[in-house]
Parts: sequence; C-alpha cells; structure tokens
Amino acid sequence: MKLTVKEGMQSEIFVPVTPKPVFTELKKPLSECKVAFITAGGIHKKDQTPFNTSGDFGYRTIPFDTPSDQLMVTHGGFDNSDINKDVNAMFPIDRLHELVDEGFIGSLANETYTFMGGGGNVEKFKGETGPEIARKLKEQGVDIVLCTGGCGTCHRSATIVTRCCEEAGMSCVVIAALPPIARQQGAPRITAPHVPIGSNAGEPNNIPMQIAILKESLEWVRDCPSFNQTKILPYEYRHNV
Amino acid sequence: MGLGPSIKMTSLHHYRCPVTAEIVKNDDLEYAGIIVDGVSEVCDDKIYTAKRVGDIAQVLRADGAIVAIDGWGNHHVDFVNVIEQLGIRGIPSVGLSYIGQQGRLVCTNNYVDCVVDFNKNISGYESCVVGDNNLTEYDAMKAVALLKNKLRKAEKYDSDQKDDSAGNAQTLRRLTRKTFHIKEVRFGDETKIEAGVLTIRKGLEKSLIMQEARIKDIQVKILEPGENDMFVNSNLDYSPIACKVRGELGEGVTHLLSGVTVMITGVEDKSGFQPSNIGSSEGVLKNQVVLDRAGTPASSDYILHIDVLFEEGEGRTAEGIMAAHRAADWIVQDIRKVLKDFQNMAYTREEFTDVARPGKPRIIQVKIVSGLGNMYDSSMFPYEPAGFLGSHNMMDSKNIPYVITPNQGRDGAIHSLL
Repeated sequence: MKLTVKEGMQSEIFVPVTPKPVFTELKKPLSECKVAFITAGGIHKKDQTPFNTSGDFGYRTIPFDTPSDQLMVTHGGFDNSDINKDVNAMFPIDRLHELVDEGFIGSLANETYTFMGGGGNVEKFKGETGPEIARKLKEQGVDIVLCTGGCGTCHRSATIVTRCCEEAGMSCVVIAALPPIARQQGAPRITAPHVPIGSNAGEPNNIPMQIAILKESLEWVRDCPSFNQTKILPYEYRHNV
Repeated sequence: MGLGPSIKMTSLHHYRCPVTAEIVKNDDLEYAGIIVDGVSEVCDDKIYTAKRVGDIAQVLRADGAIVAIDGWGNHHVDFVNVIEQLGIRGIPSVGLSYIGQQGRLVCTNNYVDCVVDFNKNISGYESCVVGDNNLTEYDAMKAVALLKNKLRKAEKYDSDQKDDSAGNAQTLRRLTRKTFHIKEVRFGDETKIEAGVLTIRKGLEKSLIMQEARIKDIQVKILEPGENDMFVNSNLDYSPIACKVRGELGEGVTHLLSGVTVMITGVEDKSGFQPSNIGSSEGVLKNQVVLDRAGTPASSDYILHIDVLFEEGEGRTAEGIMAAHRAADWIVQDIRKVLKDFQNMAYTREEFTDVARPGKPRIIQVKIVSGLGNMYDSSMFPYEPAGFLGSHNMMDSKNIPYVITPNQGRDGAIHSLL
C-alpha cells in the first residue's frame, strides 16, 4: 500500500472543536420582521441545474414568489420521497406566504438561496458560499433567517451558512431533524421536531404541522435566551408506518 | 451498503470482514459476537438503537468493542451514540470510520476518543471508485492493537500473561467451508461445473425479467480476468457464489466458488439515472473499482456481471433496488443448485470455529450498517451465504440491532443493498 501524507489530515483521534458563539438578539416584534428561509436540502427550481450529489458548494437563487410546484430536490443520502410529495416538507415556501397573510411575520425577502449541503466542503461553505448568501440576504434587509438541512453533513453545511447569517447581523434558527449535529456545529438557535431527515419542516401535506413548526421556530428566534440553545418541538411524524 | 461508492461495504466485504479476520487471529482475546445495528432516519431512533446496542454488549459481558461503519454525516450520529452507550456501561471501544475531510465527525461526545480513519485518498473526499476508501486488513490490525492498549489501561488485558488457559478454550460452534476453484467461466446449454469450468445456462435471466415489474431488462455477461476496459453502470453490489450444504448460516458445511465474483450494476431506462447515494460509480470498469479489497473481486477473478435496466423511476425506489438484488440472487441460485451436491473436484477445506476463552478479554464488533431505506439499506439472514432471497431488511426491522456469531458473519448473514 502506498502511504501518502497530507497536511491537516486528521487520523486516529478526532478532537472536536465547538465553534465560537455567534448570537444576534432579535429586537423587533415578529410581525414587523422580514424573514428569509434558506435550506441545505438540495431544493432548486426545475429549470435550474441540479446539484452534484457527491458534493456541491454552489447555491441557487429562488425568488420567493416561485410557485412551489416549480421546485424540486436533488440530494443523495436520504429518502427524497417526502419532498417529492410536498416540497414544503423541507422548504415551506407556501406556509411562509400564509404566515405573511396572517400577519404573523412582516414580510418575506424577494429571493432566497438554496444549496445542497451533503458531503459539503466545510472550508468553501465557511469562506465563500456562507458569507455570500449572508451578504445577499442582509442587502435585502432580512431580520430573521430560518434554515433546514437534509442529511448529516447537510446539517453541518446548513449550520455553517446559518452562522454566517447570524454573524452578518440577522437572527437565525436551524430547524433540525438531527439536533446533535446542529448543536455541535454551533447553530445559534435550534428547534427540533421529531421528524425523519428529509422532512425537517414537517410531514408532507400536513399544513397544520408545517405551520406550527414554523411558528414555534420563529418564536424561538425571539425567545431563545442565549447561543446554541435547543427547543424540542412536540410534533412527531414517521414515514412508512 | 455505504454512503458513497468509495467506502461502501459490499456483501462480499461483510462476508470477508477484515475486522473479524483480524480479531480471530488473537488467541488472547475471545470474540464474543457481532452486533449489527442499522442506521435510522429519525434522530430519536438513532439514540434508541444505540442504547439497545449498549444493553446487548453489556449482556454479552463485553470487555471491549470495535465499532465499524461505512457511512458518515447523519450515520455518525449513530456511530458516536453507540460509542457513548458502550462507554457509559464501562466498555471501551475503538471506532473504524471514514473521516478524511468530507467525513469529519458532525457531532461527538466525551467517549469518542479513538477513531481509526480508513480514508485512503489524498483529497480526503470520497471518490466514485468502489473499494477506494474501504476498511482494509491494515485498518483492522490498527484497531485491534489500539483496543488492546485501551483494555490494558482499563486493566482488562495483560499482554505479559502466559497463555496458560489454552486448554480451557472451548469450541462453541463449527463451520466448514469447502472452496472449489474455478479457472474458467463460460456460457452453455445448462449450468454445470466440470473440472474447474463453470458453465452458465445462456438466457436464464429471461424468465426473471417477466417476473419483476420494476425491471425492464437484465443482461448477464462473463468478464474474463483483466477484461475491464469497458463502460459499466453504477455498482449495486459485489458478492460471492456460495451455498449451504448442511446446516444454517454460521454452522455446518458451506460450498464456495473461488476465482469468480458476482457484480450487480444498474441504470434506469429513459432517464439514464444511475442508482446511488452520494455519487454514482458508473464508468470504465478499471477506473471505477479498486480490485483485491475484501469487498471487491480479486484481479485474477472472473466476474459474473449482472446488469439491470430499471423501469424509469425504479432505480430510485427501495423496491426497485431490491428487485435487482432478488433477480441477481435467482441467477446465482441456478449455480448454487449444482454447487450444492458438488463433490467431484479438488477443494480447499477451512474450519471456522467460534471459541470461548475463559479468562480472556471478551471482544465484540459492532457493525453499523445502512437502514435508511430508499437507496441505502441492508438485509439480514438470507437463505444462502451473502444472498438476498429470504433476508429481512433492516429498515423494516426498524433497525433494531441483531446479535450474530462470528461464524454467521463469515457465512454471509449480512447482505448489502446498494
């Protein structure tokens, strides 16, 4: 066997590093906030180039007025069937419009950014994609960023980009199916419904559950006392049962 | 099977598990068993199954554990939870995982203090080459040595101890494997084995295509050793050709053919979709597989290539993938029929024993295997070694851990799906 050496490669013993705290307190009522929703779950418009499932640090721009039936998923590593049934299970775009209509939140950003975090290159997300998405959201005057991720490394990529948004002065929450990952990677705030990976934002076509998860996550952005706190949400869903 | 092509553990890998092969070399350790734990898609279930692994390890009175996995990302939640649950119960462990750059642990805990990284690639990112980043004998050797170190620190292992208890060793279970070497594989009118030549009935796949609604076509090809400069579709599995002659998996007598390995590949009709999780492995065969690993064919092997054309969409469903494995196992079944009563050829005989060694540290292996369902699953206890027919899939069993004997592992109790 040929042995190779690469600088920075870890071996044998893994020493975890929890990133430094980032926390931007929300200073407005939710009803006056401009909200954006980003996702690492591989959502894109049907007419956009699909993500490369073996690792892709690019992002796609999604106008918030895109009809949900024009969105699709390209993501390996977890069962996509829920998102295929209802894209709101990962990216609850229809529910967000309903929350604006209801007056629960002030408004939505004009456009948002989605990526495929599975197997994602940590350095690229931290140094390039994350700051760029954060800057573009900030330029639109966004106050709150909600985020979902699909698989495990996807939760990591989701958390990295969310941290960039928090650093840029927005208040953010990761809606996590795998809360231990969001916690370890240093998500500013975490909500955790009891759902399978791939349906972070709630059971497909279950509008009351999706609305409740969004509302409680938004309230956690408002109420979370300090960095990296998790709120377990009382919504449970499993597929194939 | 594994998450990406380069780390995935094929059925052949589990059959020839390097960790098992390494542990049994040490007669100063007792190999108490293998726990097979499935990866779930709900976080609560990941924690639940990890706790059950801890309980089983405790009931097995394990002194130490080697925890091996062929996934990363969400699979590492299961991985670190299992290590934690073992640790809480006073069972030290050594992990074996792909880490590199891409597979860096997404979460951890205080018990995760020793993980052997079996990344083999300078980039630290997975490749689409099957076997490229596989767990090898060398990784297994490191893990066992590190575990002995940990046991020594925990005062559970004394390396200076004279082997005075060899007389106390007790054979618990015995498995006989007779291996017949095949020097040529060809097509013919009927399936037979004669003087080292395996003849496969031409067209035996035709009736299977009719049976499987999700499959449009199957092509069976024979690749000679070194015949690898052609395009193949994404890999679904590598597996051995073996059958039970007497007894259940893990005991009695098994017949095995050497010199030939089954390769299943597949693609979807119309869409051209290549079944995969994180990256697919289609391409020129010689560039898409590292031969001579535990889980891949030897470079001197004939390859029985079963190429499945899925109906559109069915390369992405759990049922479609299982249909391909079922069809492939029916094809192998035709060979098993003649292998079962086969006598008139020279063979190599191996005896595998599960041994109790009173007074020696009891070691277990925890294999964390896929159980996420669609595109990523495993199944347990097929009728025939490393086969698929008759097996119970992990996801349907809710990923509750199985306990198997080392001999059951060596007799193909685990089948990888994709």
